[in-house]
This record gives sequence, C-alpha cells and structure tokens, in this order.
Amino acid sequence: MGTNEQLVLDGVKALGGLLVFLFTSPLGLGICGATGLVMVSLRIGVALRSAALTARAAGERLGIPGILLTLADTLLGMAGRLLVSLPTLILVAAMAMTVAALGTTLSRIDESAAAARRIQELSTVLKNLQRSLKVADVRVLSVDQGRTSLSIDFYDPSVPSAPASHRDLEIQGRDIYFDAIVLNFDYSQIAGGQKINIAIPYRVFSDQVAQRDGLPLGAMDSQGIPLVFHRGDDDIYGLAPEVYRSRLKELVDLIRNDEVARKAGIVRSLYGSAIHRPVKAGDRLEIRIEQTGGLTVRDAFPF
Amino acid sequence: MRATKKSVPAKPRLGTLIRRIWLVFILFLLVSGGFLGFYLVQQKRIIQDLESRIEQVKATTIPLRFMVLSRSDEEISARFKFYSADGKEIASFERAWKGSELAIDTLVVPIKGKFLAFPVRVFTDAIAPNKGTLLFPYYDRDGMPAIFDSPTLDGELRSGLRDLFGALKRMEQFYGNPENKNPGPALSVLGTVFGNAVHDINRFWRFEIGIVYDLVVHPDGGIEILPE
Repeated sequence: MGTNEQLVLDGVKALGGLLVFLFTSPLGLGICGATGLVMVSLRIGVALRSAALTARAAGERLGIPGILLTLADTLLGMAGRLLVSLPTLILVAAMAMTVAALGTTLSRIDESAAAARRIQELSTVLKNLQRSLKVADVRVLSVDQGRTSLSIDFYDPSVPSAPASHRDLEIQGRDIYFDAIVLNFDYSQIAGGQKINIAIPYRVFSDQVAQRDGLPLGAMDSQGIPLVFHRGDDDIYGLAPEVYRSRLKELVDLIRNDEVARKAGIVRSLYGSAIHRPVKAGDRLEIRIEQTGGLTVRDAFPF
Repeated sequence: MRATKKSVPAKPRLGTLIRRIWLVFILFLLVSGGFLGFYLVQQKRIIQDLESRIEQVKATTIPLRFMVLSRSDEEISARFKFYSADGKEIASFERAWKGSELAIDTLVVPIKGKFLAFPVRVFTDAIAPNKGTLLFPYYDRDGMPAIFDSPTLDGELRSGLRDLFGALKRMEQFYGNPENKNPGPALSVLGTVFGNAVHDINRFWRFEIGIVYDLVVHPDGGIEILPE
C-alpha cells in the first residue's frame, strides 16, 4: 500500500479512535462537557461585560435584575441558534458517526491481522518445542545367559529419513545403557526453529558393566567431530560443504567449551545422558531427543 | 368539473438516494465492526490458550539437587538433597565413590500422557550401575515417595503413588540381582518405564566443585542437569 493511502487510513483510524473516546468514555464525555461549559461561560461572560459597559455609558449600574436579564437573553439566544443549526448538527453527527465506525472497523481489522500473526508464531513455537527427534533405533537380537546382543542404527536428528551409521554389539547385562552427549539449546533458539537439541551416542554399557568398561561406539573422529554428522559433499543439502563443515567445527567447539556457549546465550545445558531399559529378545526401541530437553526412549512397535 | 391530474410517483431525489446509501454503509460498518469484535475475542482466547500450553510444555520439576564436594582422578564426593513437590527439603546425604564421572540415575514412568521421575541411584564411571548407591530409601516415607508429596495431594493419588513406588522397588530388586535370568511380573506391570542416568563427561565437561546442580524433569519425560 502506498504511503499516501496508508496515511489516509491511519488518519481515519486516529480520528475514529478520538471520536469513540470523546463520546463513549467517561473521561471523553467529561472533556466534552467541560469544553461546552467553558464556551457557555465565556459567552455569558462576554455578554455580561458588554451589558455592564452599556449600563455604565448610560450612567447606570447593572444590578441583579440586569444580570439575570442578560443571562436569560444570552442563554435563550444560544438555544435559538442551536435549534436553527439542528439540521447541520445532525449532519455533522452523522458524518462523525461514519468516521468513528469506519475508524473502529479499520482498527479491528489491523488488530485481527496482528492476532492472526501472533497465533501463527505461537503455534510454530509450540510445534517446535513439542518436537521429538529420533537418535537411534535399537533391536534386541538375543538375551542369553545374561548377555545381550544388539543391533543399533544411529540417526542424525536433522536427517531423520535414513540411518547415519550402524553397529552390532554384545554386552553382559540386561539393563542396557545407551550413553550420549546431549546438547540442549536455549528455549528461544528451539522455539524460533533456529536450532534443534542434539544427542551424540558414544558408548554402551549395562547394569553390570561400568561406564569406563563400556563399548565405545566410535562416534567421533580424531578431531572430535561426531561421525553421525559426516557427509560426503553430495549428501549436504542446503549448505555449501565448507559452510557445513565449519558449522560442525562450531558445534564441536561448543561441546568442548560449555562456558563460552552459555555466555553466548545459545546453549542451555551440556551433559552425558545414558538412557536405559531392561530388554528381552525381540524388543525394538527408539531413542529420541526431546526439544524441551533430554532423551527419552519408547517402544518402536508397541505390542 | 376540473379534470383530476393523474398522480405520477416522483423519482427519488438524489439526496434521498445518498441518505439511503449512507444508512446501508453505516449499517454495514456497524455489523462488520461487531463481527470483527467478536472474532477478535475468539482470537485472544486462542492466543491465551497457546501461551498457556507453551508454559506447560516448559514447566519443570526438581526432585533433587546435588553438589560435588571434591574430586580426584580416582574418587569423587558429593552432597545430595531431595525435595517434595512443593519445594521443601526432605532428605540429604553425603558420600564418596570411586571414579571421576558422577552419574545420577532416574526412572521415568509414563502415565496417561504425563511422566513421573524417580531418582533411583548414584554411580560413577568406575562403578557398575547395579553396585551404585540406591536413592529410594532417602525419600521413602512408609512406602510413599515423598518427592511427590504436597498438601494438595488427595487420598486416591497417594495410594496410586504408593503402589507405583512399590512396583518400582520390586523391579529394582529384581533387576539388581544378576542371578535372575528371566523377566518377571514387575516389568509387565511397569511396561514402558525407562531410566536416564545423567552424568558429566571428563573429556568435555565436568561438574564443578561447589556449584549446586538441579536434576530437572521435563513434562515430556526428558531429564536435564542445570546449574542452580
């Protein structure tokens, strides 16, 4: 919309708002009443002064009867002029009502459009916060003599369609712990869709096997970059490969330097999280990262 | 006799037409203004509802806080405090463990779309979980898990929590014993319960000595550690 049209619309809204305020609100009515009273008082004052000067010129004094007569004459004169101007006043009132109604309607259209935008924003925030992204698919192949055999597919949460890597392993114990580094970003980053919380699985241990004796998943390369994020140039969509890799380095630096990340107001928390459940042969589990924070696990196919 | 003039209906004057158009216009403005006002009220209700749901999604509980007191390559000591649902401290203890990474394990029970979290044990990177320190006794009050206690809790909820806590304790005893080879009734009762052991990581980030950390439970079952 052009500037001039916008100015006209804003002017109508402002004028409409002013009229609604003046003729519907207690304060507005008070202002109108006070203005009217001041005008009537001024008119009466002028008339009384004029009458007093006339009496003095005639060598007389304007007494109480004279004051009352002047007052009555002024008020009746004003009433008469009001009656004569009634059609004009009705026309002005009708125009004012039109402007007020138009202004109010235009304001409500603006408010409704702003409310619709706010609903859209809040819906997006809620959707982003309620998101749950897959980190790993676990199949329990067997549980025999207290030893569990597993097949694990790992997923990059930002690319959920296909596994990023696969491991088969065996471990003593039945309550299996899937250990991951969890990076939770600030709520504002998640709500706005700029970031998603990240989980990097790096170790498996069990109720009977201490963490330091657990099985490493080979999750990171020699530079500390999580393998799940390794991509060939052809597999990187939407970002130039060098940008993608520099963003990865940024992520690794964040992981390494929690204090810097917190001060930047980006990372809310960084810690290890070993999600676990007692398992039996045939179990199929999904490990997920919640966008409010933290890991959860659920049955992949509840039965 | 004078002939009667046939009366011809007069065409509406321009002024009358303008008045009619104006009346229709003003009526239209009043009706649309009224409708918009009503629609705006509905939109404000939707906004309030969305804001409330966002707050619910972000609402957390803190059943436990801890602080690392000392750390070496071989040993770590910490103080733990437990809190009721209304934030009152209900128990505390201090201990030392072999190891250098401290893990706080919590059982998470999904119930009717909500998640209840029961801190269950503390262990370290050098101690297998089944040899860790069990936390249930610290907030067990005659079978009632005191971390959920509050004056507003009714009898039915208390009874339900007691039953659930009892089932979890039996499950822990069952799975805590490596001699038990087969899954027992405790698992089928609890179904989808899972655990989450949150811990520091020597290589990247460690719990700082003297800093109080909150064990934060999210409404969707996620567990997080945040400095107080």
